[in-house]
Amino acid sequence: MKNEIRLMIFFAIIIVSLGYVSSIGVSYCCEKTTDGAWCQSVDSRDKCATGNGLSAPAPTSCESTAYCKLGTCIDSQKGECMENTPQQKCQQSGGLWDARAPDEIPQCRLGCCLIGDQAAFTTQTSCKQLSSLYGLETNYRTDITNEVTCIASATSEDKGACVFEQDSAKTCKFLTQKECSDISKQNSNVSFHKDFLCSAEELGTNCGPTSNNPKTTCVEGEDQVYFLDTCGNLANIYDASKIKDKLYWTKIVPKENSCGNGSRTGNAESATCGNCDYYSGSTCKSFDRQQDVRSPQYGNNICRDLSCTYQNKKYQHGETWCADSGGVSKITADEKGNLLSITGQDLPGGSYTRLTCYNSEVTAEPCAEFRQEVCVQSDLQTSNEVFRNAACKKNYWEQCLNKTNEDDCDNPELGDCKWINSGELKSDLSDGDKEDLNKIVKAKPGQITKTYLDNGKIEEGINAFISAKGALSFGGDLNTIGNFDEEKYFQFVCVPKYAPGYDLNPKSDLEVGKTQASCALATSSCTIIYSDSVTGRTSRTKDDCDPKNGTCQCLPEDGPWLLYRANMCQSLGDCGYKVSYQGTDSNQKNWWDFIWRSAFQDA
Amino acid sequence: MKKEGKRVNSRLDFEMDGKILAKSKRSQVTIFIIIAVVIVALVVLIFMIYPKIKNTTISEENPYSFMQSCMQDKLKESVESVSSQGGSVSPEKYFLYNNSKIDYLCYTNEYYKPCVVQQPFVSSHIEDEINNNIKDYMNTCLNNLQTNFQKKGYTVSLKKGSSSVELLPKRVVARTNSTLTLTKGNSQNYNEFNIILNNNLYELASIASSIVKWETNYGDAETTLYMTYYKDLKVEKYKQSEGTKVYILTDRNTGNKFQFATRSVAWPSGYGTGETV
Repeated sequence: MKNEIRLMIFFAIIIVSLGYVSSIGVSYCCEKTTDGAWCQSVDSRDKCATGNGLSAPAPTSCESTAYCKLGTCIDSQKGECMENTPQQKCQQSGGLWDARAPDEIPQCRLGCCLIGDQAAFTTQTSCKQLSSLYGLETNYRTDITNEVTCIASATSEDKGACVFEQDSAKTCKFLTQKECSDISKQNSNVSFHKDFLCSAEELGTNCGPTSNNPKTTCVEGEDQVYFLDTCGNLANIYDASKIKDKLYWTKIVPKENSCGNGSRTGNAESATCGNCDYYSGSTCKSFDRQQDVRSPQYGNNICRDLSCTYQNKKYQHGETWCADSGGVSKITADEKGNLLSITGQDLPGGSYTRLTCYNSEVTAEPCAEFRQEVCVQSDLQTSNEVFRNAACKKNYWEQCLNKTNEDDCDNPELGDCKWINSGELKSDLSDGDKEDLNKIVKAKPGQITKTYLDNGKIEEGINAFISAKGALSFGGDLNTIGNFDEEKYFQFVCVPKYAPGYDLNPKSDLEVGKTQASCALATSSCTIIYSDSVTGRTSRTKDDCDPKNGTCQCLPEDGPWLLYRANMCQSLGDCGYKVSYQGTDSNQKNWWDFIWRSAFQDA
Repeated sequence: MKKEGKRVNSRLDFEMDGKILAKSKRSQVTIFIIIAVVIVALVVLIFMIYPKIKNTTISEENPYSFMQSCMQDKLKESVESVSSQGGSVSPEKYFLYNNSKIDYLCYTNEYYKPCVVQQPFVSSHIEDEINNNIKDYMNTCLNNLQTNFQKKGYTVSLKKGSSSVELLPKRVVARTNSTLTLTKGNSQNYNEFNIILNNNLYELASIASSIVKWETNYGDAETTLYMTYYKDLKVEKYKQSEGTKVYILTDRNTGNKFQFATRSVAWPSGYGTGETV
């Protein structure tokens, strides 16, 4: 393999892998470990608990043992099924173990259990269990095969005014037909009026509208604010404009026909309408001066606004977004998850965090540490606002170093990688190509061209490098070099798109070794000369230089090597010079200082 | 009444052993204020102590109430303890989070692999754990019940039965199928004592079970799905450096919590190559 970098990477991976293989040796399957975990693979039989009827540790994988074979554990009484359960553990827990997957086991097949106006996607046995727990009849439907459809099929039972006599008075309760028929078992003069409210004048009961002093209530399991009649029965959804409307107090008005239906905000904080909607960001709550911006016109309940304010910015209920936590990139994607942009840099200690807004509360959800997960945000543009949606996504960077061509490297389905300039010139570059390159790089704007060199042979290359170095030293970046056909002159390499992090407190020598080996993938060498920026003199010795005064410069002979190399080094992980996520660097001031120290320590 | 050398005014002086106690109208008012404050304080004190007095009274008159009263604190303590520790009174394989031992419901010590279920039936496990934790106390309460009624002149026959705990929607019920017969002239039988605690552990354990299914199948669970489906539920997930996830489920209305740990499809830091933790 001609490419030196790839050869180096290959050997590094081999070394790391050998270290790994030697470290794991033989593995044993413990039915239970000494620290109490069931069915784990360990590297020493001493880690397995013994006695109490536990099987002896087997020098094999757990999948190959009878006691730790994984399957479905069935609780035939409650109708619960749990997959990926070890056989022995299942039997010990009183379950029936089956090697098949749950969807292949009849007792574990899921269907839609409709209980009253609720629905649960569960097994038939569990449905019967729920029926007895709630004391309600159930309807188990096997034709519904997913949870969303099941929940959508939950419908409330017909309700209406149940009129009966009590203490010689004609009174009423707002009930389901079944509940009303239960009353008729104790009372002979009961009549059910479907879709009627108890406040209906024509029923002639002692219940009526609370028009003069309207009362409202919240109902468990429902979002809306409801009127109450004088007997305390539920009436229609709170609508301040309807308090004197006899018709509104006569028959049930569905929420689709109630005030503010389809409101984008779910009528949040409306003083006059109680048609709240959880999915739109509001729900019925008792009015609270601390939390609600306005009080209801009538009653004491309001559609509470469930949105959040975070760092002086408003977020809708249900929105999720990536925290601007520092030390990590800002990654955006389109609605389909295609990458749109990456800005910022992944720094040591930097970790991605997702924030969620639910029920007026912002919750931070850290993504996996060491940037093994990255937070990707996609903004959904609605008619006049943005709905943010973020997720912690696995950072698939591990295979990047094995990819040797640009197509594989840039294919998002094969990993989170990028194809970058390694800084190493192609080994077969002709002198003419080198001259061309130096001219290209030198010709770019924004470079420091004033150099004082006494070595004519390397003038062009040194000029180009100083330009690049100058840009970096003063806060510039690779972009200052500009665009040219880099692949014509430089070797390219595939590196992680999102630099993974390392444990800054490694727990073992092996871990330290792995980290060093991985960073060493970017290690390279170049010939340096020493140039005094004050006198302009250059030499291949450091005798005349005092790095502490910052008067010396490191000048490799092969063009803008350092910038590209630095970029590659940083992409590999927490390697090379980087400030921490908190913005502090240890001793080095910048890449140059870092290189200087390395150079002088090595010398 | 008029005393020589004394100025006549409208005050009412109290005399005791020749000493005049009240010197002016102002001091009389002060005394009345003090008396009023003392009365108010007594009333407040009575209202504060009253519930306890009431409880004691009820518990002494009714065997069911006695058991409820005797057991409810222990049951509450036990429920809260297992809820904060992943469903176990003494977790074996646990993660230490904020000084609390949190049991793993699903665990693998390896990297990249889905977890192995550690507690297949979360609800049943919790029921057993609570029952084991309270049954001795239940026995003590039954003994106290017996003694209490014997002191009141009853002939008491108590047949102790087994105890059990059941997680039900919105409540936890501890039960003993003991039989108590009280005789004082006529006999009264009391069967099956139920101690009820309002708590959402049934609902939270069901959610935990669902999360474990996701973890073992996909290596992770999406918290927002649960919060969208269940309006009063708050789901928090905290990923730890070695791959453990701590889930905290909270009922927003009642404040009841259930927290547990999982470790599934974990990734090593940096260029780790898959050894175990």
